[in-house]
Amino acid sequence: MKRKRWQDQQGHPPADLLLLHIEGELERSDATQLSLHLAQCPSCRQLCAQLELGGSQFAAFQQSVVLPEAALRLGALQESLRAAQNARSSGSLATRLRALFTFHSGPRFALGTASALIALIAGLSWYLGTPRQSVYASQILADAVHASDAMTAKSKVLHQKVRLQRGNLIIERNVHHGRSTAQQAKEPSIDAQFQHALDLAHINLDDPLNANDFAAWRAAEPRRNDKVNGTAQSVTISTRVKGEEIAESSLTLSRSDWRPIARSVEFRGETPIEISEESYDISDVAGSSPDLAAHGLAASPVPSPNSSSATGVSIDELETSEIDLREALNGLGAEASANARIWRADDEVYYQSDATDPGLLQKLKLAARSIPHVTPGTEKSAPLPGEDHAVSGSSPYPPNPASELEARLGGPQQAGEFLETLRGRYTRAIAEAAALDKLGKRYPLETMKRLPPDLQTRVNNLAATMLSALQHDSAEYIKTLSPVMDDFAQEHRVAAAGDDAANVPGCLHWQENAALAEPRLLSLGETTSRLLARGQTLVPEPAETEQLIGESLAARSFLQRHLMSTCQVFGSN
Amino acid sequence: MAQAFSGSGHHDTAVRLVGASPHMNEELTRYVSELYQEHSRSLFRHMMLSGSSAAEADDLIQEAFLRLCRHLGSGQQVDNPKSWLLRVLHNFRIDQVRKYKRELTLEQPEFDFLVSQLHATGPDAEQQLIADEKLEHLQEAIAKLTPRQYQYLLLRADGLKLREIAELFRVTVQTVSESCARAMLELGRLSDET
Repeated sequence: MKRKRWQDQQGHPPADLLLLHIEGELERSDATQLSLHLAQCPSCRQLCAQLELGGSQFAAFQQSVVLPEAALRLGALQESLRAAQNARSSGSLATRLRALFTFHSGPRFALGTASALIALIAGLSWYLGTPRQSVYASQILADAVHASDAMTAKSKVLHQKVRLQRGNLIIERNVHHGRSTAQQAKEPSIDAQFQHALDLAHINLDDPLNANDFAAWRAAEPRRNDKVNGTAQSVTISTRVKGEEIAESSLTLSRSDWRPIARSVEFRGETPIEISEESYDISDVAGSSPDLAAHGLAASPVPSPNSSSATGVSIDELETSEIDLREALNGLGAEASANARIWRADDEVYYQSDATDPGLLQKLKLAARSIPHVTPGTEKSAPLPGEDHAVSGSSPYPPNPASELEARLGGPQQAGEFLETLRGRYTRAIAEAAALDKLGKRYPLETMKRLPPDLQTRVNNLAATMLSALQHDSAEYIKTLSPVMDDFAQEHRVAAAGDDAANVPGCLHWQENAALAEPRLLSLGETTSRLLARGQTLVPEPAETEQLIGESLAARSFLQRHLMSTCQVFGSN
Repeated sequence: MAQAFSGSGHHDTAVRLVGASPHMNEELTRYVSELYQEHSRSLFRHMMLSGSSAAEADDLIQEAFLRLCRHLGSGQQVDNPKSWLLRVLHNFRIDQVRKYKRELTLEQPEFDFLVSQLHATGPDAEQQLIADEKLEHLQEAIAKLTPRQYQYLLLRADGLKLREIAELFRVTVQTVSESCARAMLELGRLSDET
């Protein structure tokens, strides 16, 4: 939303504008202007905090009202849905028939009416049947062939690492589309029966993922039935045929560039063939090497000034792969929870994690497989900046409830539950802080300035997501800890930390915030755990207790006023 | 999620039927059923807090999902199914208001009943008292909101953007934003006091 006015008479933005800013509904220019103002204005930051608090109060009200349980009537809904769909089909037919008979109402038109009725039924069955899908499939295939031709016209070469599997037999090929390629040597293990199957399905072993070949096979099948399915990333054309040997074949295309990424062929009574893209790359024709291609090796473009090494992978390509990987890890929550590490060697981006959940491991593997130049690693060499940073995942909180805490909370069970919750929330917050700090050290301001603008934006967006998770988890941790900490402070008469300039450094870049957050969280964890553990010793040491309380309050105040502030700078300059 | 729809695996992303034809009907039914299981409870809560009776909320929610099915079946796109359903339900409520000449928001007796059902939990009797006291203050503050403020905050809490709320009520975003900001500041101040 574009705002013409954004300052009141005192030079502050009004509360409604701050709310639009918090909700992310301001245009970029206004949002930037407002961020700059917030960086310098504690009273507006306070107002933002109050708005957010008000919103959470209303949410608390909404969730606290006890209502009758909704009766889930899924069966009734499904019945209504099916009835509506049937009514729609028959309704449209009935309407058309009625219109037809109304028009040809006289007996002399009986023959014409009957002919028209047959034509209408035939038309409707054509309309409702497969031809509509068939036309759609043809259009998609034409687009894929056109996209491939356009790439050749632009002197680009698509390099694909392709995996073909039939039963236990696995063949991997490196294919280069967009220029003439020397014939690759046939695999010696292919027998005549397999070659026959490949020929039937129009699969060229030197280029198994080819939209043209699939289109040629499909066109040669007179009795076919097409189905088109889609996801956000890909479209799959599945064609069932009435032939004696092949039952169905499908081709999956990437939505981003109509590149074929998978193909399968199902035979009647024989093992199917599955073909999939393992990785891909696009380079200029000048950089490709036909000699290497002839031996099935990856193309090696001539190193450009922006190349990282003789293997020809440019720095930007590696940066993009690394950021793709970081986004994927973040999307899976693996950066913080599974302590994922990333490093580069030999023009590849490697990753390793401590994940033990098989589901997460599988997702990680699948995500990484779709990113070029990314390989799972087991041994670190030349870690990237920030990656050698040790993540403190263990909680400092004592395993047994302290006696003082037991007295405060009403018993050992309550104290134990409290410590368990605290330990969990602390562990999550510190893992988030360490992950963000690692990202900040990997992409300090100087590095950010050297990145292309689109990659800068992606790193900033990734940081914003991680910061938001850190803010949420830190707030949960502090919310749990605060009642006990405030009790300690009140009892020992320790005043809350002051609001001096050193304590609130103002608006900082996210990298600086990331560097400050982790030590403060560690400090808060350590001081409060020592306080809680002291109760067990039953040896009163008032001076040290007061010092620990003071340090805890200062760390909490810093985190609340600074880390959780809405004032964060995302940029490269 | 059904393969026949574009989307990235969860239901808050854009969905659109790819090539509507009869064999897609079953996919569509399955997809809308998944959405029903995911959202019907929170939509029911929203309708109850908007002043609907339980039976009325139930009927309207069924009708809204049927409408969603028809909408998707005609090949149209829905960017965020929950927001779409909330908007349809809001329009149903307006129709109800016109039909029965009722208030759009909660009427006082209904509101009083709901807030009397506010449920506070604390680990012990003392904490329970504190929680009860906080809820009592919250109840008083929410009772002071104007009907419009209450509706705006309810829709916002259910995930609608201020821009979407403005479109729904046919007012400017600034109107919604000003109204929400005033209400939220009041509620935020309350938290400082308690």
